[in-house]
Amino acid sequence: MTNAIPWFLLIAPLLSAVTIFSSLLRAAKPAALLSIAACAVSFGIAVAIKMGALLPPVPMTWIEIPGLLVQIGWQNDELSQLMLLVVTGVGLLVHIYSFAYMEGDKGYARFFGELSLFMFSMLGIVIANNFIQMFIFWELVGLSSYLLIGFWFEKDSAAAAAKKAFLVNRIGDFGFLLGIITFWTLTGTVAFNPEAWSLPGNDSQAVVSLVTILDQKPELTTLIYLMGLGLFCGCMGKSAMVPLHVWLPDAMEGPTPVSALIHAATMVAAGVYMICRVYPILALSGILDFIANIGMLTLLIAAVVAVQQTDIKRILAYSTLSQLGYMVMAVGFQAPGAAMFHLTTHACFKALLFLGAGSVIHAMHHEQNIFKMGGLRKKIPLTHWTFVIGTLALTGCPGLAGFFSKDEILVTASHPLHFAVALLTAGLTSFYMFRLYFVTFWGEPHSEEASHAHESPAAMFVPLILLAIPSVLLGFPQLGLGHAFFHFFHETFPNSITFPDAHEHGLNIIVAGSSVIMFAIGLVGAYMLYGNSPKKDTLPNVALVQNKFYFDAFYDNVVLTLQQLMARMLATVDYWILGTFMVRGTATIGSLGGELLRLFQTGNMQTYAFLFSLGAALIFYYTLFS
Amino acid sequence: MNYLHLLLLLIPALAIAAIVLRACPKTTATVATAANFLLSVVIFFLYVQHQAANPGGSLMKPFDFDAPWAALPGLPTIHLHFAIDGLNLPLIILATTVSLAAILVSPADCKRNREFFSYLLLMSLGGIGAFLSFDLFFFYIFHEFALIPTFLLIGIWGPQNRSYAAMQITLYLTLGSLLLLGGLVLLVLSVPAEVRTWDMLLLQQNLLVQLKDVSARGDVYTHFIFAYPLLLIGFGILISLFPFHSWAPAGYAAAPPGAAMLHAGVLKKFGVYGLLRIAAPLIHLPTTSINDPVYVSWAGWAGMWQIILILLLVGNILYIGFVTIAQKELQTMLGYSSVMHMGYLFLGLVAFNQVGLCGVVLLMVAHGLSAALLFGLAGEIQQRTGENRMDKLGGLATQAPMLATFFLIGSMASIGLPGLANFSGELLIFMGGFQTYPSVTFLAVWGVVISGIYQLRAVAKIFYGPKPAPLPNAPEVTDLTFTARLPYILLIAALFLFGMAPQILLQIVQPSISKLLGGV
Repeated sequence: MTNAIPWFLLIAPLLSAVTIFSSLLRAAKPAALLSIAACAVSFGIAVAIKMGALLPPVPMTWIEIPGLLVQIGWQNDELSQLMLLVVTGVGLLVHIYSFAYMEGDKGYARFFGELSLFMFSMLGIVIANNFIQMFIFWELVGLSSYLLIGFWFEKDSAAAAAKKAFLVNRIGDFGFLLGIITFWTLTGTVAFNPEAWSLPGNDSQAVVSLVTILDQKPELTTLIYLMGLGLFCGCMGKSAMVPLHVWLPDAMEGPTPVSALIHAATMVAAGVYMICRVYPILALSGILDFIANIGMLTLLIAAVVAVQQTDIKRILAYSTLSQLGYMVMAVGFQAPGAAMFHLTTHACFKALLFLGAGSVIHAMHHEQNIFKMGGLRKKIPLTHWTFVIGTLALTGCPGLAGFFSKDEILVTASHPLHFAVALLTAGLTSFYMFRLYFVTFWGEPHSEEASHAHESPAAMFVPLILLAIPSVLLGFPQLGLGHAFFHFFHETFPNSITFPDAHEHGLNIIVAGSSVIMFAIGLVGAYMLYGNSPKKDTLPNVALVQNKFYFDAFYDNVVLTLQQLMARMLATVDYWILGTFMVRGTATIGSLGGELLRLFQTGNMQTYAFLFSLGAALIFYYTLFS
Repeated sequence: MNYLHLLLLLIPALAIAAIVLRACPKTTATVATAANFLLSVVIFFLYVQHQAANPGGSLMKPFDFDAPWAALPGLPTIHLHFAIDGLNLPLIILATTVSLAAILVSPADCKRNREFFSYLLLMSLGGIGAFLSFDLFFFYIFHEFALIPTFLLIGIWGPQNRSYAAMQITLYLTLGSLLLLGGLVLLVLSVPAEVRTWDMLLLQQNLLVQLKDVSARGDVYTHFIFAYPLLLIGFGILISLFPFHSWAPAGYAAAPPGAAMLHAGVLKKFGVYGLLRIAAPLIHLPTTSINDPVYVSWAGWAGMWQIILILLLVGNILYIGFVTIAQKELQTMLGYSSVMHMGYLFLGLVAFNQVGLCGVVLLMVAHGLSAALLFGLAGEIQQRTGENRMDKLGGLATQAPMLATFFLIGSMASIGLPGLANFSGELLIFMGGFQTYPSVTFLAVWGVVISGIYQLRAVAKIFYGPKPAPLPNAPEVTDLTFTARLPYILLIAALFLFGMAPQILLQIVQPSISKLLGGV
């Protein structure tokens, strides 16, 4: 028997989801416990795999026809092992947190079923060893995200946000699918196995390497560029890069634990994980500059918008967008190791911040406007202190995790513009996060709810504490996380095209110094403007920022209107011209013909005799005289 | 030789006779279709076993019945030739599954129920017979045979707008059949009298032999020039090829759910199957010489029709896709959506390579299952609310969560979500399509976005949002009862099975596709 135990990484959450949906929908607590247990099993397997106690199983064949082999396999390397730990670790804490947070909701069991479905799909992405497997689970996380955003589907806004998330992601997936198909057409494989791409002419596997193709058929360079663009499209959808970012802020309609797990720590990071996984392909296709620029754009736009938001979850959502921009930009800087490092630390502190925000919202009886809070620091001290840690980690306070991982990205920015924007955004991040912090926690309570706020139950604050620890420690060079990622990429893809100037970066005094200065500027600025926790925004509203640079307005008005117009127009054409004029018209001609011929059927003997003789006369005429 | 597969025809025929002789209609029909369903599963296992025992594919088919039936003066003898291979077996499984589901969703006590269930069984019989027949005469006749009950089912039991829709669908499809008949006859006549046959496989072999013969070749190609367009448009009308699709949305909206399920799910696949088996290979038959002027003119002509088909299939996907977005009535929208999905099948057919054609067979099965599921559920919604305009519905998920879940699964299948059968079919078609026509495939893949738009919009409009204020006279909306769930669970289980393990079907489809490609 082959080693089947590791498959329980996927089977456990899948079984949990199936069991809950088929028989436990009315049993709230058993469903939750089952789901938590399933997640714990996955976490255990992830740890065992990392420790080497379990070996990855042999792949299973999904489709096998001549010319196409698709397997469900397990890519077991440093990258997937660490990502598995992040997903199952944060996942487990969020499961436990939700046990208390979702208390009393009538969809309690359904929530945990959908959460298990998400774990199943997300873990499938992480262990994918080929494009098709990744795409399968890629779409499935899209489904679970759709279900969880629309968890409160009775609310029109939640239903609309769910639909929007799914459709925007589908646009990204459209490109992703085309990219995958192009890759398969060019190389004859869908596998991630890096030897298959970077070693020229590996005939034993009937694989033509991209390097060879680029060498021998320069005319395909454009196609390969488009392929890279397509693959990156998938990342733009899932990781919410400009201009496909619009779904993520709306996704905050989902329950807060969902926002923490899916829309901050793991699923949105799947795009970054994917482009790191296939990094050499993107490097070869020459698309890295484009990736860096898209990342920079997202980074800046999202940070600027975050400065003027008032909803606690939306501020964090824009912050997530902005941090994802950092990661994507790092891949564009040929530093996938830095991107993965930041992904890992970000998963911890952003989950911490979202769960903290959930705790605040819980204490505030579902009020999410920060200007209606205030003074919470004394009411909910535990939440407050963990939130402080999360904020410091995110803003890049020296010594915390975010400082190290962000620094590694800044160091790799070679173009002055990229560096300037990254540095500026570091300041903006510090500013909007401390704005959020001061307004929420300092000063006096601004509302009835704020003055009666109570600390959340243990199931909620224990995960906060457990997340706060890695948010502090994970970045330290002594822990070696950053080095681990760096070495992984440079050892797995040792190719001059993929890493032209490969050298390990240490801590750069100038870069670190300027990032600390930006952190301080943001902190001081926020303190001066918001330190007394004002009741409304001290900065004037800027229409451009308030309207999020008009992306949503553009999509809702121009794109949607055009689409509706086109649909109505074609439907009218179809109904009137094809359905009525052509089809009914043909039928009418037929029946008119019948009517016409009926005129001759008079039933009058003389008429028939006349017509008969007329016809006979004509026939005689033709036979005799022509 | 094993004749087990003949029971597939005998069982529904006997059931019809029993119903005419006053047996309880729904029970009889249920028993018969359930038996047929189990039988097709048994046949599947026997077939797989046979294939495993004969690696490399021996010529002998495990299920093959061939007997002369009628000798015609001047024409080849018509045979009763029913056999099973890797191309029709998936469709037979589809047909028996959907038939069972269609019988189960139909109300036992509808008006004139004796006739109603007989006609449904007749439709099922016609579909299965057409797929089983390797003799072109019966292949054609069985399909025609199924059109008559379709007409009656819409005309007598249709919920709305029935008489016009019944007339339109019948006249339109009869027109398609007529063109098809012309094409088939021309094809049979294209070889010299002594090698003429109605047998589709034998005919293809004879064509190959004739094409190798320099003196006979010209005549064959001349026949092709007329036969191919007739076959393409004839089958095309039956598949609702753009712009010959108007019958589909109108007809399905006016049909009782059981009839819509059987037609959209099963009978529509007859055309695709015919194209795959008979028409599409004509273009790709190998030739020994390219200097033959008749061949050159045929090749140019065939290339032109290939381009026309490409344009039309893009119309099927993009044009119909947009039209679907604008639809307001649920059944009409589902009708258009099923027209749109036919575009993918045409893409696989024009690509005509291993991967693409395997995808075509997979998607035929998957689409049949998912379309039947959605049409069935649409019937449930209309029956519960008395409403089929999506704007007037809303919030049904709170009142009927199971109905909502099933509809969501059907929608996800229809838009090609992995894990459900449609995805693997669409994926293979896109991959195969890209190998031959990358830019057409680029356009076709937009379909995944468009279908997402209309399908999710329908889900949101019907099921999400606040619970609507109860209408004055409308009864409280109830969820599906346990027995009412069974047909949908059957279809959903099949969608999951073929979605999670497409290799189940591919293991029998792929050798037959190889044979089809190797034969041409």
